[in-house]
Amino acid sequence: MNKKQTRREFIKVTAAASTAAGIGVTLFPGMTFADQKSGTNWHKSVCRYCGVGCGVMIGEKGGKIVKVKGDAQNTINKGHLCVKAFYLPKAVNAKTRLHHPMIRKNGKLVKASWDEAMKLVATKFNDIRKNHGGNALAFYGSGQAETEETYMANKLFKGCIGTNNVEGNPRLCMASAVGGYLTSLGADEPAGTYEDIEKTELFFLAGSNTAEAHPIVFERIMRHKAMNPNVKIIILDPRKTPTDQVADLHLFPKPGYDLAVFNAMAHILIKEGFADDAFIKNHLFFKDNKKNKHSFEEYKKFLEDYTPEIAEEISGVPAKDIVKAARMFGKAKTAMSMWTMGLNQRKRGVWANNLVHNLHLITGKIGVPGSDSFSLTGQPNACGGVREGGGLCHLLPGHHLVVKEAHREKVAKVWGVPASNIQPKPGKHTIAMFSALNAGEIKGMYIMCTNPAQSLPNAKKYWKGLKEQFIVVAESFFPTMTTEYADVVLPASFWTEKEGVYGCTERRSQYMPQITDPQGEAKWDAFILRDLGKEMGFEREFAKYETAEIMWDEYRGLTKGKDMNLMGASYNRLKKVRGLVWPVPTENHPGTYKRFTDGDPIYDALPAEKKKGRRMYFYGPKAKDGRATVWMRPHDGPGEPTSAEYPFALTTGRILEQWHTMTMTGTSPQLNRSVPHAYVEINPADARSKGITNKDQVIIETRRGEMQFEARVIDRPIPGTIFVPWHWPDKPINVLCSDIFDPGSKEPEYKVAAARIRKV
Amino acid sequence: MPIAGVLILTQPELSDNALVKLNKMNKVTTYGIHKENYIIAVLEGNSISELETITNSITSKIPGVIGVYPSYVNYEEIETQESTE
Ligand code: SF4
Repeated sequence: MNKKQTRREFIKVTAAASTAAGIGVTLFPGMTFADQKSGTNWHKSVCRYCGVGCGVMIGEKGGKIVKVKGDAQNTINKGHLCVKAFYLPKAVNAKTRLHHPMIRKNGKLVKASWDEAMKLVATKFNDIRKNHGGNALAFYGSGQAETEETYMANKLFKGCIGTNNVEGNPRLCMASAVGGYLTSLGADEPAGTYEDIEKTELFFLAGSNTAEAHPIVFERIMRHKAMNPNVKIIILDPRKTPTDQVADLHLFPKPGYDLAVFNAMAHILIKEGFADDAFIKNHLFFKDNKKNKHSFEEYKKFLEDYTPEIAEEISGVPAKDIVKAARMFGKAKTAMSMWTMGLNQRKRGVWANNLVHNLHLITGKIGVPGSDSFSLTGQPNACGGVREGGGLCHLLPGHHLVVKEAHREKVAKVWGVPASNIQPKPGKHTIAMFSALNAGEIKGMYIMCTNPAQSLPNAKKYWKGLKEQFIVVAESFFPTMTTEYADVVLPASFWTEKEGVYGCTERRSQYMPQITDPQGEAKWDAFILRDLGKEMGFEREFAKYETAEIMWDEYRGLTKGKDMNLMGASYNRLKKVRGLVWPVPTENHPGTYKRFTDGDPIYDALPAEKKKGRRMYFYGPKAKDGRATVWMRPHDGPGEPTSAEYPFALTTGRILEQWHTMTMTGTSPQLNRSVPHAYVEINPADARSKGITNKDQVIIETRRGEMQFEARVIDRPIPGTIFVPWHWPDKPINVLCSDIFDPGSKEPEYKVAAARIRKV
Repeated sequence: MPIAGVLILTQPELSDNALVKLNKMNKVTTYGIHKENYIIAVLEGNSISELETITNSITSKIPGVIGVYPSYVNYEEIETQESTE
């Protein structure tokens, strides 16, 4: 390099070369780059923000993060990141990081020592347990917590305190996907992986603003389509989003009225000969809502009620577009559906999931490369830590259930606690838990790495319980809306300050190393819980957990022989590879691309007679005879339909620049400046009829209250629908959302609430 | 003074035009079109926020740009003195 080259230019060249390397291009052959001489130590890790699970390389120098690059060897993102990654180090060093414990005294949170804080929590929790029983305590965790952290919480609350009141925010975002997979395929989590993206001919994106919520998945879709113009994209969403720029067809259903569209697509698929009769015969059951079995002929008859014309009447989607979508789905050799909250956060979220699975099952577009029914995850470890780690009220770690005696005994033995400690009944699900907090039935709650005061639906209703009961919040950032109600706040390590495992959307578990020291007196959440356990008197039960690896090893031991077998995913191995996709039963197993079929070690080990005539065998705990189930789910609308009084459907969602309740992204003044305040999108036709112009202040009102926003007049939402992003704590739109929930998954219907809007 | 290397994904038929437009932008240095629809570029900003503003204007103002994906971000305080390396 020329001596006169400035350091800045040197770094620019390095940035260009490193970026080029990510797509296999060498820009400056033979050149030595800044990174090779700068004393930067590079560490392989995982992005902290979303469920895509991108691999990042973190450059640390002198104990500080100075660089971040996409991990070119990571198969998920192949070196590319999204704009949120700009802010990763900012979040670690944010001014709002909490550096010391705090205790509420005379109504104010004041600095305290760890010793004082832990003694207070332990004493209070023990008093509550002694006087009111274990069920008067609860834990509320997060899909952002590491698997080891949720594992410690599960042991403390379910195994030692003796309550199954253990929940987490994935209840609010993906419980319906879990219900869908369990009821349709017999086992939770997708059969395929991201690898299907580059092998598919058709993407069906339903209720997912993939471009903004899962940007790297979108990039892979785009790249694939750009290089293969025959690849088609169908979008089903009541709102136009940036994802639309590449859509071949967009179906705009009224919010909450899309079940009829899925059934009508199934109707056309069968009527026009796209059904896979052999697959249907050998792999499927047909069932109605009462779980009665039916024949394929009876299913066809059920679908007669869902002609495209009837579906148009119900959903508002033109019949011709439904037919077109069905034909595109049917004609494509392979199809991959993806969805997120638009289907999950619904009163009939499980049904919506079932009906998407149906399209794949009746056409046999599953279990082959390029075809899958693939739910996208919002949070980085909702799958790994909470679904697999058992962080919900009916689960135990490793896909075990509290209702099964053998499971309780197995887990209790590993935990070193009497099996009788683990209650045989599920605890309270999230909404029931916060209702019990309001009612004073739950008197103490430990909240870890999440912000329910803002993120719960109809949030204001639940502030009462948070205010009145004993609340402990373990958080990296301060203040949040939830810490306003806390009696004790414990500072938690963040991302590069701790090691642990994240499991993303595609069943992949990835290791994250500790790179920097915790800020101030912050501690790792798993150690806080371990130490709380000891302080509460469970010294023996928590004595052995000296390291993250000990926790992980105990946990993966529980997965042995299960559908989510992680026995081959030791820390030693995870430190070297870019994650492993379960089932991965041994240290020399490569992981499993497709479940329930050739190459899946569980399928491969099945006796030949079971597999005879079947290319898939659905062996999951909820499947019978190796068959998946096509569900006859009738049309059902939202829990709170629009009316003359509340004529608009209010729907909420994410935008690219922010994440969840902004505890991480809101710490960055830059991110805030980019989209500085909350707004409501309203269709120009609706705006005209209400006399609203762009940037007017407007009031949105639902049955739960009202809130003021700036109007954005834009043809993104369809007429009759208004959209508000849900990130801003000063405008917590969830306060206005309905807390009606899916009776199966108990996931609330954030996506549809009846509302009215007026100019201020 | 962060510096970011980014991949700009374009529609293949519009890559050339996008490159011309990018070359006219301040604080953007391009390094050619690769694999038909990737433009490699380096963005320089006084802050992360400025990087994001540049990213947003690339995405919203240049036809054919599908997305901008950071691959390398350097956050070090970088002065423009002569290098001793
Ligand atoms: S797509 Fe998600 S995981 Fe990937 S870089 Fe963006 S925020 Fe991180």
